[in-house]
Amino acid sequence: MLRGFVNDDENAESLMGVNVVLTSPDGKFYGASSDFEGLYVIASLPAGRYFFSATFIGYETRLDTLVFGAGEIRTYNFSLAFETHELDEVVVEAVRDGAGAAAVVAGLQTIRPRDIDLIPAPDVSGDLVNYLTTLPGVVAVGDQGGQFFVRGGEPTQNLVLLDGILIYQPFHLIGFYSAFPSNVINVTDVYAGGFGARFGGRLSSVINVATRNGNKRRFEGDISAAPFVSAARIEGPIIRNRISLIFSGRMSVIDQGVEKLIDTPLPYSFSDVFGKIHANLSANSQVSFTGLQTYDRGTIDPVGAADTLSSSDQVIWRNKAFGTRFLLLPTSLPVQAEIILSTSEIENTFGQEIDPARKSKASRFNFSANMTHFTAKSNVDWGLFLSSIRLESELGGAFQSISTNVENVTEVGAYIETEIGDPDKIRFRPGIRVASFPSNGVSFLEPRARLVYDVGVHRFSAAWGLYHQEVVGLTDRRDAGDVFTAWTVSPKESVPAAMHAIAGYQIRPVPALRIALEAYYKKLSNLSIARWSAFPQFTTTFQSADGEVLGFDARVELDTGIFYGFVNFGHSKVEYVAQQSEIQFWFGTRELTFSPPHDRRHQLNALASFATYGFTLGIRFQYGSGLPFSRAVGFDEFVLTDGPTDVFEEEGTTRVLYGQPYDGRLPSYHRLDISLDKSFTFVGGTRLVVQGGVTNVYDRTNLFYVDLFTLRSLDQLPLIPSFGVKFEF
Amino acid sequence: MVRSRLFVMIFGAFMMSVAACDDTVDPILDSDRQFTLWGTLDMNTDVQHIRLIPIREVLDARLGPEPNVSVRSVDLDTGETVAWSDSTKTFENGTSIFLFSAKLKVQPMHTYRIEIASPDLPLITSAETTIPPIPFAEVFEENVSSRTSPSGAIIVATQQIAWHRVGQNPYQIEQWYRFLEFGSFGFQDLLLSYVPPNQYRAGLNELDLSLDLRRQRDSIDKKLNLNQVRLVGLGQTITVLDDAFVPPGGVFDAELLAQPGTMSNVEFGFGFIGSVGRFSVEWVISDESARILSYTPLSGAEKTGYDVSPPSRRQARISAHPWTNE
Repeated sequence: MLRGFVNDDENAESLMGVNVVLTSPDGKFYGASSDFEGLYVIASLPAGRYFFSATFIGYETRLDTLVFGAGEIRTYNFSLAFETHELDEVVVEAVRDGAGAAAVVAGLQTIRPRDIDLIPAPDVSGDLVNYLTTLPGVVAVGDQGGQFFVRGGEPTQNLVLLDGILIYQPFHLIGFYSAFPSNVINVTDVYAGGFGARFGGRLSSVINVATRNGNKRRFEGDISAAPFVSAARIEGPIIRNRISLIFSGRMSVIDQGVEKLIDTPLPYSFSDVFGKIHANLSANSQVSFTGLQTYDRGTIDPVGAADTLSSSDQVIWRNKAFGTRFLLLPTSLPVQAEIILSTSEIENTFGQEIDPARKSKASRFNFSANMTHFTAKSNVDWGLFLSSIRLESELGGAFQSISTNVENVTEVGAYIETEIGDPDKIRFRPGIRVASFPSNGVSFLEPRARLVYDVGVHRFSAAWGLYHQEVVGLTDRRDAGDVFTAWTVSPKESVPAAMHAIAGYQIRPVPALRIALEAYYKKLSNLSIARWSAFPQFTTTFQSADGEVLGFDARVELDTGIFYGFVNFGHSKVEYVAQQSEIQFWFGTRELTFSPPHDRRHQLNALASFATYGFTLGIRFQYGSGLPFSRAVGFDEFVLTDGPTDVFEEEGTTRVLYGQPYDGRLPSYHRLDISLDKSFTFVGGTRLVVQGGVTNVYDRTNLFYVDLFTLRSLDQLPLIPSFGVKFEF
Repeated sequence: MVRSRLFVMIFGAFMMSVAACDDTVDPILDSDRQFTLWGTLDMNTDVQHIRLIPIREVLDARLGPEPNVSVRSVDLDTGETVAWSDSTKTFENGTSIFLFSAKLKVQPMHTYRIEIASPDLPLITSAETTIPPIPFAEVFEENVSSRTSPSGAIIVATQQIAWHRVGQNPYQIEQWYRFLEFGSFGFQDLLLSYVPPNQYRAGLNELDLSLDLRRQRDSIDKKLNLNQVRLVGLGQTITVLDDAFVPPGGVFDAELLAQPGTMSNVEFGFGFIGSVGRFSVEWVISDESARILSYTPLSGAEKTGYDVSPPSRRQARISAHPWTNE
């Protein structure tokens, strides 16, 4: 067995996608491709002499001769040096191999930092969230709020992992930013559905972010300034070639920057700090420590808030996450072992800053052990996990009394999955996950399966799985501007569940062109949604709802080197069926079928990027059909008339005179963004990147949402000219 | 060059077309409902009140419009029309509510129509309510007996009351006792929270009540020194709502009823106007029964021993009448 880590000779960062091939004297080939950690494994090797080659387009090929004894397990780590005379176009194509807008495999899309940087944004540095919003089936209800819906799922149904650490709410209030700047990302896997047995606890999607380890050869970094944020990054060796540090910090400058540019109040501030220490303990083992802290504060509708009593109400959330990850290749075993210990915390408040009316806090300690057994015919992945979760909420505010809630939950479980088949033709990956919550007396058995079938330039893929979510985040979707989320435990008898089914087809007739089609279906049951109420108050009273999501995506991606572009189209239909007991009295039917406020039926995203003469021009157009919202006749006060009524003393409770839930549709959304980058390289390798751009070029008045409590319309961001500079050293 | 021009032209046309789009959205549903009405017409008062809320387009009640309306009631049985006058009440939090009042003695079984007309609006918001009929009660002679057992005296004391012409299960049933203090001319009424088990027979519009006088005596004994008062009589008051007081599902749940249009009888508006009546009946029990129950009868006559009461016989029918709190 041959295994090892491949890294970039320049900075010792892991290289993903390196093809490692052993050729025996009789012409037999044994090969493997490195994963995001640079790990490659060739499991079954008869004893003998082999010709070794490691190739990665854009890098010099590594050649060697290796001799293996019977049953020998050898670790062979190496670096690949950048091939300086390689054509730029080829490098671009190579870096995107396996990733790219149309490289979707049964809901899985791999995103590289370079893909992110191509998306025009009002910042000289890229951010993962800007790429996510180009994906068909991903709905962001607005430029503000930080809420992402993936293929019909709710934001709190997305599992977001940073080096294996759960991040509860990683998206900032301003929609151009998340906790993940592109310059700290190694690779991101986004499962829009159909994710494997390793992942669980969420119904909708997985966003699995693996960060870079930092430069182990020399110090480098950058500082940048743009209308929304100022940012800095530094990385380098603590012990050269052994231990590295990467640190990134960003802080919003909205009040000094963009607010002055557009003369519109944007009372938001946010920041994030990321740090990671990575150490190669030996040739066979690595350890890393990752920490992240984010902070968001703002008022989604400052004008509307001023109309009401609580003009200084604001939403605040803080993420704190810390984890350590230990990776081991035991010397004498064909095994990869990964152990992750982490803590995650989200604190969310709404109301006055000093004494907020609503508070919610979720904290979690997590242990997981993930093993991969490499055998001659297949790999077997299995793992154990244990989580201790504490959920606290204190809910008060206008029109309601204060209720407090503290819950403690323990989760234990295991999973196993294996890959069967021919790596070059058909790969079937069945798996099963068992999760148990002893304190709640519930357990789940979740079978999963993924299939990939390659025939020439064609690739067929499919995925299927069952999913459950015991700990749910409750947001009152009646008010799109209310992004406060209370985390709580699902009722025992109705734990939210989902079934995903995905079928995809991909064709790459020529290397520069890739076309992908994908259809998906999600059946959702026992969703915990806020009870429908005429009272304008946040509620954590559940009602059970079932749902269905049906959709398809079509993607076309063209990459000629000088030009890169894609067009993504998505069509989907999301329907919830609510089962609130009062529905039959209100609407005359036992169930109420409605389209939730994230049911965007049609989406189109197009990107064109031209790189020539040192300039990079990016043009992005996005279109989304209108989202559902509830219309109302107006407001009045409700007086409970259950007997003789003293109208002198009954002040009444303010209510919204709703029509049918979500019976209206907002106008469609569309926007054009343009950016132009130019970089200047100076002696000593330092570089200055200058960017100019315009967001919402034709100043489209896109409607963000209609505030159901004030019946005011709130617009999305107007035309924003931007200018940014980044100095890299 | 030609291709570049073509691209610029297409791009320019696209920009102009999309920028020209000015989609607006109206979150307010078109509706011919302009007002919300709340209130109950009360048979037991001479002045009626209702609350009127103009439906507004802002959440804050302080920012709503003031009503420019005239309110009147029409007795649909007699055609009598009464104009209502407006007033305002302001709560401590600054919220003002609009009230309309009229000197009006509503008559049983008459249907009243409250009409809200505005010179600014073509439609008249209205609600109709039919005043409940006056029920009548039959109070059966009490059945009070005592027998001795090794563990002491065992008292059985019950009384049956039947209310007739009760449109639905009463909103409230109150049982009270009237006492006269020794050496005083002041009556003392004691209201019991104890609600007797009742059996409402909807088809017959009848309510049968069975009073446990001994248990009521135990309850009174904890509140009064029975040695210092004489028993004057007993009484019962029922509060009856009109037939429209029927919440969906049979429960008056605010979350359920707050949904606009639920249990509403307001045409071209929201809310609910109902009517209510309270009716009382008073009776006395025999001195003998009073003594068995350890009360001192009003006659004051002392009597020893516990005679078994004769079998119950129907008393004269007593009609209930509207009863007013003084």
